[in-house]
Amino acid sequence: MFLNVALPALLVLLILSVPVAATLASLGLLLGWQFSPFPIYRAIGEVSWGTSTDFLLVAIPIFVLLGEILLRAGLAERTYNALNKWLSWLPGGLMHANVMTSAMFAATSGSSVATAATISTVAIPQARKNNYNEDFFAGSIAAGGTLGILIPPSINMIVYGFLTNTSIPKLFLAGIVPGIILTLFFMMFIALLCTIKPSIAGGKQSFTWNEKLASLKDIIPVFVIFAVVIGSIYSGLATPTESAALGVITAVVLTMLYRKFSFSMLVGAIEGTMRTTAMIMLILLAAYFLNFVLSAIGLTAKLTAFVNGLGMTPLMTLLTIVCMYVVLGFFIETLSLMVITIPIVAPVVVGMGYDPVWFGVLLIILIEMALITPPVGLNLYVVQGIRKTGSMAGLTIGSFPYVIMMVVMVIVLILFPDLALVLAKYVN
Amino acid sequence: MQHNSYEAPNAVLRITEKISKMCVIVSGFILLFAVGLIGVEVVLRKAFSISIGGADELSSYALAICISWSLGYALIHKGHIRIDLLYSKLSDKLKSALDVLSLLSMLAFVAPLTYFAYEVFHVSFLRNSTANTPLQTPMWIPQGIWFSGFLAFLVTILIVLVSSLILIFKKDYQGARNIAGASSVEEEIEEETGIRIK
Amino acid sequence: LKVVGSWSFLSLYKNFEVPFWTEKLPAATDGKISANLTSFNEMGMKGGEVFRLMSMKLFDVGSTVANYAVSDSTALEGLDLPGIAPDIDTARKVVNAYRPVLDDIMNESFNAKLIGIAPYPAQVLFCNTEISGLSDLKGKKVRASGRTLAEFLDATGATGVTLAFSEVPQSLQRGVVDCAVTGSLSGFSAGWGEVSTHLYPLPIGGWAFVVTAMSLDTWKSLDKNTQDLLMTNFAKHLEDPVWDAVATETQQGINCLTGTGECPQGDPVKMKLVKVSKEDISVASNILNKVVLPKWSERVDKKWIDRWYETVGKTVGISK
Ligand code: NA
Ligand code: NA
Repeated sequence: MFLNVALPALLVLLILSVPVAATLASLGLLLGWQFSPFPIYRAIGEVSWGTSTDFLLVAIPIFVLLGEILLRAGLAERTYNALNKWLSWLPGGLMHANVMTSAMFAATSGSSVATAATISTVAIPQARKNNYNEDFFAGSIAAGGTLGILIPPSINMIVYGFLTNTSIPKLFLAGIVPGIILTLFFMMFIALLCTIKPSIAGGKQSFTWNEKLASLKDIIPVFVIFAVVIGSIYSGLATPTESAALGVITAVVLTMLYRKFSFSMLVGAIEGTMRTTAMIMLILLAAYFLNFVLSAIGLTAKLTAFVNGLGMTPLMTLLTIVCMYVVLGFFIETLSLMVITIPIVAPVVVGMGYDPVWFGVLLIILIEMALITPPVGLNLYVVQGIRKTGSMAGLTIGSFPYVIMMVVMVIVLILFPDLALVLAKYVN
Repeated sequence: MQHNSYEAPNAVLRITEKISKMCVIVSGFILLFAVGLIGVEVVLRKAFSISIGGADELSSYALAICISWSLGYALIHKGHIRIDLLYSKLSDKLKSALDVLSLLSMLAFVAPLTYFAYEVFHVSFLRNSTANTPLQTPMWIPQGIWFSGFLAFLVTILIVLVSSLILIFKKDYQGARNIAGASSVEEEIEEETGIRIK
Repeated sequence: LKVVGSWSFLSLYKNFEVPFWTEKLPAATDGKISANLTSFNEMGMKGGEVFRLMSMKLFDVGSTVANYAVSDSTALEGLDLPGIAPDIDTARKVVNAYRPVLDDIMNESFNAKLIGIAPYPAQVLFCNTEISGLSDLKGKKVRASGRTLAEFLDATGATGVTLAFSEVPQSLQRGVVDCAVTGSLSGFSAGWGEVSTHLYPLPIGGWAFVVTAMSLDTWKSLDKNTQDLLMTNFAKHLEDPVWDAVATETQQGINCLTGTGECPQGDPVKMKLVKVSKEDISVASNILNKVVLPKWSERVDKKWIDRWYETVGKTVGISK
């Protein structure tokens, strides 16, 4: 039933560019109506109300709002310029600033589109001026932008936690070490590449210590926001949703201090926030309803039984799932990929004895990968959309090394699961 | 302020866009209010071990309201994710056909959703249901506001659908796509960041 | 029959509801009744909507914790008021006294027939701070779900904090909350024992009774004989053994949490068991009478209040 009705219907509707939310929900309505003697489609109201009022999900619009405010306050540009002053001596100069700014901005924001777009606008003109290889340069922006969903706070992790009932603080904490390692992987690769082939890196810029020290004040806000959001969760002050609210309040105060606050800026941030919230939440409502129907008609149980019946070892099953994500990640937009697969995959993986927090982190890295693999890779689109020169193929090649590094990271995480779990254990 | 590239082909759409924007801004301020309430709650709890009670409950209603009342704005501003793998390679005519299909499928989803959201509200109203919390919020109030947002979204879908059908019959495929097409990368970046790419 | 059961990861569902609906009942009715069972959480429900969806004819039988469904029917609150039944024998007496009233409530509120009532282990208090009795709750932050419990805690001077169940261990450890309420054994399984120091075994969260009910339409479609078979078998194969098991589980939970006695569920932890004094029981009963009941009567139809005093009130010795 799933393989010969639901799955083809899902794929056909998605290929026909039917909105993802409408695809999932219509499928739920259809399956509920066709395959159950009970009118389970009538639950769509109750199920949607339950999802719409989940306090955990309140964190989503608030984190989006936080990112929108910081973006409009010009924080990304200033962080970028400051980091450039500190990192330009490394082989690969500006490219390190790309990755580091993304990683640091990731620490405050949820949207990778906004981060990648902003850094592109600031960085690409400088890359041209300094004769960088544009494909590799742009690749580092696209890849750096994906760090945003691994380094907390992360909206994708909230979605995972919501769909699998996993503790959000644990997920956030578990993302930190792999996030730092992956950032270092990226930077080591850039340094190595630019040492071997100095032509890829552009001309060196140098800055005086005074300039460097003066730039520090531009990095402070990022640290303040990160400290407030993550600090308030782990010091026991706040739950994740509350920490998001504290983050927004801090951001508003900071933008006022930096004299960037205005009413029209706030309205702009609100419009952006609401558009993103509507988009994410409609997909979540639809996905949650589809799950409801799938388990009501017994499909979820059958699928789990089917996978268990294949008689694969847990590791083989896990590797199969990883490969499945890599392949699906080529073609399916990331949020959709998450909501469609998690409810089916996570119970199987956790049922085999894997830690749900660990799997969440693994999954997020796979999702990051999907952001920079063609043909459907949001970050590639965004960077290409802004740079306007060069080809998509060139950008794909420029980002490819980072895909490899994510694969390495996935393997490392499977071999050393403690990398994700160590902080959570330490805190407990 | 974020500039807005939205150019409506007819007065009805123009007004719909204005109204949807107003709804979004009002919802946004409701969200900000919730943010403030949560902030106060956290500080009071830490500093004085007291709880204003219900910050979480009220902010979850705020979420429900933000969702349903911003859907129309997201539709007009092409915020609902569509996978354009095939779409981007098609002719104008076929693109318009898929746009209509996508609006129809939205209707197929949102019409039952609106109806059963109404039922949630209606049952709570008839039963006098109240939240199982110290606030004892009568559930029909937040549920009523929530449900009306879906109703407004339903009307918005219909307006966009009719407007784009009119343009399609006039063979103005480009125009139809401007109001109902999948968003291009340029539009997406512009909506997210206010950076205009030309 | 399409049956929606209670929390899938708890013993009530795994060890009792599953065998009852899928084996024992079909066997007892010679296959006349066969059931298709899923738990509400596996379906993505939160618990409060179960009876509402059942009255919308989405399924035939639904089970959920009575206190989850009180939004739609304030009269349900009378079944499981905080601290009313300090021990399991009293709890069972309360349930039996209230049973006919509950049947009428289910009928009126959800167009449903009450099949049975089974408890979870006593909902006791876990604290990550020194307490010696109810009076120490003053000024403490306590994770509470539900308004009767919130009102009860409020009367002790504690601050109610709302948190998702999965966030409780971290929050206890980090001091977001000082105390939290859940079943003894489920608290142990969820790791609460490792993050809290004191266990206060008075069931101030009640017993989290799971009410099982059948849509009245389905009920009427069964013949008299099948109806009787269903009711007697539910009592014999589900209710009775669950009550026995819960007595054991409540004790095992306490054993596991305090490291005293047998703990087949894993390595016990060493929480301090706070002795429930006679005074505390009477304080609890006093709060119930002076605060919780008057507030409840403000929001519920008078006839249910009267019937509560006639049944439960009489059983536990509380009168107007
Ligand atoms: Na982030
Ligand atoms: Na991809």
